[in-house]
Amino acid sequence: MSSATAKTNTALRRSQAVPFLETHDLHKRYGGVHALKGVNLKIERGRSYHLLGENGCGKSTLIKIISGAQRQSSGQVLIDGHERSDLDPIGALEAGIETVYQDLSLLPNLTVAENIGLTEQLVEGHGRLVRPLKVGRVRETARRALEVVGLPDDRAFMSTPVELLPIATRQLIAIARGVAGRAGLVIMDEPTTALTRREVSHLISVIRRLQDEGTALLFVTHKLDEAREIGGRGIVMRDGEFIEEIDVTETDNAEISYLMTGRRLELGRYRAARSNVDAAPLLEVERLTRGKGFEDVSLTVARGEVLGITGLLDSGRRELALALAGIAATDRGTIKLGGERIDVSSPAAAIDAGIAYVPEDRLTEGLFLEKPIRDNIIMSVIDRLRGRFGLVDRRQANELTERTVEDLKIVAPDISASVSSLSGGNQQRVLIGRWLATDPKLLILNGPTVGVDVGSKDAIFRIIQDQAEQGMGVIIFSDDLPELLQNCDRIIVMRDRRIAETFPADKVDEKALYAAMGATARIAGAA
Amino acid sequence: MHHRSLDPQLLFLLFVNAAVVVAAMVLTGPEFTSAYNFQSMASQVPELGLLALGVMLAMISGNGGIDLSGIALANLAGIVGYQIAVATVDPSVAPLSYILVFSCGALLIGVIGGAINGALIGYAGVTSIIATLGTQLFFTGVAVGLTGGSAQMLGYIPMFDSFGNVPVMGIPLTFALFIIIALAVAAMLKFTKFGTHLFLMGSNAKAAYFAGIPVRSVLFRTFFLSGILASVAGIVIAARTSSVKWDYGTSYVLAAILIAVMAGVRPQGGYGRVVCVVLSASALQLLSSLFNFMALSNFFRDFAWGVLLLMFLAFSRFDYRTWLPMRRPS
Amino acid sequence: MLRRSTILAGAAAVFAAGIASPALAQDEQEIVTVVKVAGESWFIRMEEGVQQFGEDHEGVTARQVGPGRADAAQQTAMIQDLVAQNVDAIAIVPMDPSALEGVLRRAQQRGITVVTHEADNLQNTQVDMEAFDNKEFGAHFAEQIAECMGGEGKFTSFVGSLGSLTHVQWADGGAEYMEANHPDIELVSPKNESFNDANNAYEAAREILRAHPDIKGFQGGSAIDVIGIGRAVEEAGLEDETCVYGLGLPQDSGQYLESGAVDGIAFWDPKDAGYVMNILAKMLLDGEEITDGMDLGVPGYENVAVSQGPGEGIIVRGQAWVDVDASNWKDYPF
Repeated sequence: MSSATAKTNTALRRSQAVPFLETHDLHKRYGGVHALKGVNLKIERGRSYHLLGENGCGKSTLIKIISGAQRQSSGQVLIDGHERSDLDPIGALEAGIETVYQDLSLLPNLTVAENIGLTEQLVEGHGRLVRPLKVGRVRETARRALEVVGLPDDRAFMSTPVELLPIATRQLIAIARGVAGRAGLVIMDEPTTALTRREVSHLISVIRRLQDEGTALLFVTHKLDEAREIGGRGIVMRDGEFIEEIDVTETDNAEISYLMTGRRLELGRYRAARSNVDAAPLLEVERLTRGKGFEDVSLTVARGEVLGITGLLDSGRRELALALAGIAATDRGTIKLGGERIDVSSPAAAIDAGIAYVPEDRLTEGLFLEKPIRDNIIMSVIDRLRGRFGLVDRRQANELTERTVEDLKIVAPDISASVSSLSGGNQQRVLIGRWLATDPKLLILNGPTVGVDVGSKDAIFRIIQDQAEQGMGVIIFSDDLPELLQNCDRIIVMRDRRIAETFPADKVDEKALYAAMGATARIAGAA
Repeated sequence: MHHRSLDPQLLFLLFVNAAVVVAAMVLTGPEFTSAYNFQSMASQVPELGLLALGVMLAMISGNGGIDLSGIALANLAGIVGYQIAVATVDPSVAPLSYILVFSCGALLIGVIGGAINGALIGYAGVTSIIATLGTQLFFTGVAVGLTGGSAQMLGYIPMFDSFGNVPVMGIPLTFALFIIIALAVAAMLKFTKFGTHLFLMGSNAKAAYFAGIPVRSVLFRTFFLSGILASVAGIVIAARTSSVKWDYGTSYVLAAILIAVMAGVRPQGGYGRVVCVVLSASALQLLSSLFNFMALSNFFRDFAWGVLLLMFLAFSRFDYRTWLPMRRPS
Repeated sequence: MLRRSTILAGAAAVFAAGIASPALAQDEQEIVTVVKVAGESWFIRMEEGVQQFGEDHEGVTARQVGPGRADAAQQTAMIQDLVAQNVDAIAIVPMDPSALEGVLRRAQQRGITVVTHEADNLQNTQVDMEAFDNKEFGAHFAEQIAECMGGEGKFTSFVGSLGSLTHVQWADGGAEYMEANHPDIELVSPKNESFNDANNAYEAAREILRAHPDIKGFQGGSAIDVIGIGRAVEEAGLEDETCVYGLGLPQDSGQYLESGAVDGIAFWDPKDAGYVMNILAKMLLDGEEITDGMDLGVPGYENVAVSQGPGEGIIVRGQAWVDVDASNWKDYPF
């Protein structure tokens, strides 16, 4: 079928006015929390929608109900006009609703083909797999899906266990699984976190194709610019309520943020870029090398300067961050802080030297989720909180925690509450708070606003700027280019394990950065 | 703060303790609640309770931490303590010195054994279940080698026997010792840097390392302490029974783990409360005595311990709140 | 996944099902027999004797308890709880006599009668009952071996371990008998340790047959020794040329008795031992005296020898060994 015919068919179907999915007055309550307050939704075939809202606004709950993972407390769900208020996951799949989860939900020990083709088998068996698996069908389905997302579809690749593949490939496989069947609606939750610019552009073309074939798409994402590239309708939620449906291509980020948070936020540069002429640099890295990680890296950071470092996933930036933090060993090169050579052979040594590293993945590398906020904040500075008999003084610990909570504007019921009860943005602030409490000379942040809502992003940027004003050196490793452009004085781009170029942050744009990274940047919308 | 002190697990354990006593009164008659029986039961708790504290520390350290070598080390500590004491002091002439030499010898073995475990697990990176399985066999082997497999009789030393068995002001001295040690462990966990580091490490070892916690040193100290607790258990055993043997208390390995799990200590690490371990140990003792009073076959007891362990592992932490009706949203 | 309530209710029901609540008349005498391990065939047989005693005597409740596995700590705990329950008498086969001194002292302080078996070095007991004199038992084997050997040749002995007191006493008793009565019989490789493992006994026996091809006599110590020795003898085809006697249980040793690899075994019937312990306990409760030469009414205990024990109690010995060979082993169900 040519794309023109497809488009006409879709338009026809749409004009027949039965939306693929509708919700009426959907409510969900967990214990004492009213997560969804009467949400009405209409999703039409062949269109893209973006669920926009801060963490805790109810987006995930809504998705879980639509995909059958949870039941609503009251309200109706209609699919193709039929009432389906008792959906379970298999029921949702049968009805043509596929979900690509944020954590991918792949089965690591199964092969690529099995992961992609399993859903179809499950649906046919109504949730049961107790019968001979149609291996041929599984492979055929997988092959088609892999072709759609642009992954290799040869036998060898399809037989690879998924756990051996890099994260970017896994994300594409998860997407492939979602588009493998003839879905009416594909829900994608943060589908591009691990993808390069090139892969994102390809994904957007896949999305267009799906739309042409009549599939509806529902995205959950924090990347407003990406949403704009994809186009379609934006569904803004706040506090469990539906606020407004907008056209994402015609609403600017400021307006969207305002709708999401109810507040006006700063979206320009947070500071004027400083020129890097400080007499004595704070951090001096010379010819740092680590085996297969990175080679010959030399850079400096001045007091009060904010340096950004970016690059593709394989550019070596990740390894460089770990090396500076003392987590990964280096083979050659020196690191000097304040003019003196320092030892960063372990995280403890790095901390002692005055380096603080806020890790990439706050959930697995940073926070102690079931422990109280207080313990998470004070843990690196316990030595300073001793009272009588050298025992930890509770009062001092509480004071330090309260101060940190206040300074960083952390929203928390009580400092004894466990960190897992906080939203992503607040969790990140707790983590940063812990590191700031160590009074570091150099603050390194790796992906500081991943999975953080707009409101918290703003708060975190202000915190970073504050510290820089007070003389702290800051390095931000990130692949969120707007973030770097807003906050840094200089941006270093790494490519193929070396430093490729350095730019002053106020005189460069995303296009130039992408070029330096080695990614072919196509600006969507021109296609 | 308030709600944490009265957490559901603690209430549950208090309830179990009370329920068993009530059941005993109903099912077996007045002897169970006599002062003699309570003292008798209280004097049986410490040796197992001390081992359970050691297991608790190992579990808190995370990564499937456990200490299987407790009772073997306790027995070895008693044996070596005995051999040193009997070679140097005559108990009929200087009983106090004899006891002190015995105790010091036992504690020394606890230090050495604990250090061996700590080094294997903390610095050599051996998984604790394998390491302590190995050291359990090693300690047992040494104990058999030293004694040829037979029991070493300390003989009747009135001072020691009284310490082990005769209550003072109604409380058995070994039980008082156990409570004091439990308090010390609780204080250490709550108020020292080591305690905080231990909990965090058990909660998320990777984040702990990234945050500068000396993971290997904390692991070493954890198992080192467990070894010392085991040697105190060995001293208590000797006081109670006036003899030391390499195979005493083989059922204690499982029982100590059961006590820890029943106390809500998470086998994955990062959480455990001393007060719950104490109550759990007393609950198990009450149950055990109740079964004996009711003349239940000992196989039933083993079966019951097995069922309890599985139940508590399955539930991980009992939360009565899930049983109460949902509160209305405000 | 099962709901928590279902699982808990199920567990409670299981517990309840296992519960039997014996009601006890207050004026009955309660004698509790505590064995080393419940469930071992030896002690299952002993329980028959205990039950029999209870049936034969009105006004007495006799029951048997024992730990699920061979653990001195568990046995001590059971006894401690019995003391707390204030039963009238406790009859014990101790796992580790020295571990019980303290709790038995306390039992007696509480006025509870204490009787033991297989614990002639225990101080805190009123009566320790032994089925026979260990030296005589060893001599009894040696006597049979010597007769079978025709009064001359080589012989050897086995023990469970050098730490097993009774086994060592049997081996020494046998050796003394031989020395005193049969100067032409030579003892080689005395007291080989099997560690209660039939395989070890087998290996040791093979070694001895290799080292002394003309050896004729074997005296076993632990009950599995004759099994290991018998296997080695069968393998070497020396059933008719050897004389193998030792402690054994009929059913276990049966096949070797049939083949002639083992010529005879002896044991003492735990049923009788249990019965006699209870007799002694009741006598103490009734204030009766136990005198030398008394007839306790059970075969093998018709002329008991009473001697002073290591503490304040006495040792009562019978002559209650039972000889079993190919002709009558089937008569015994254990």
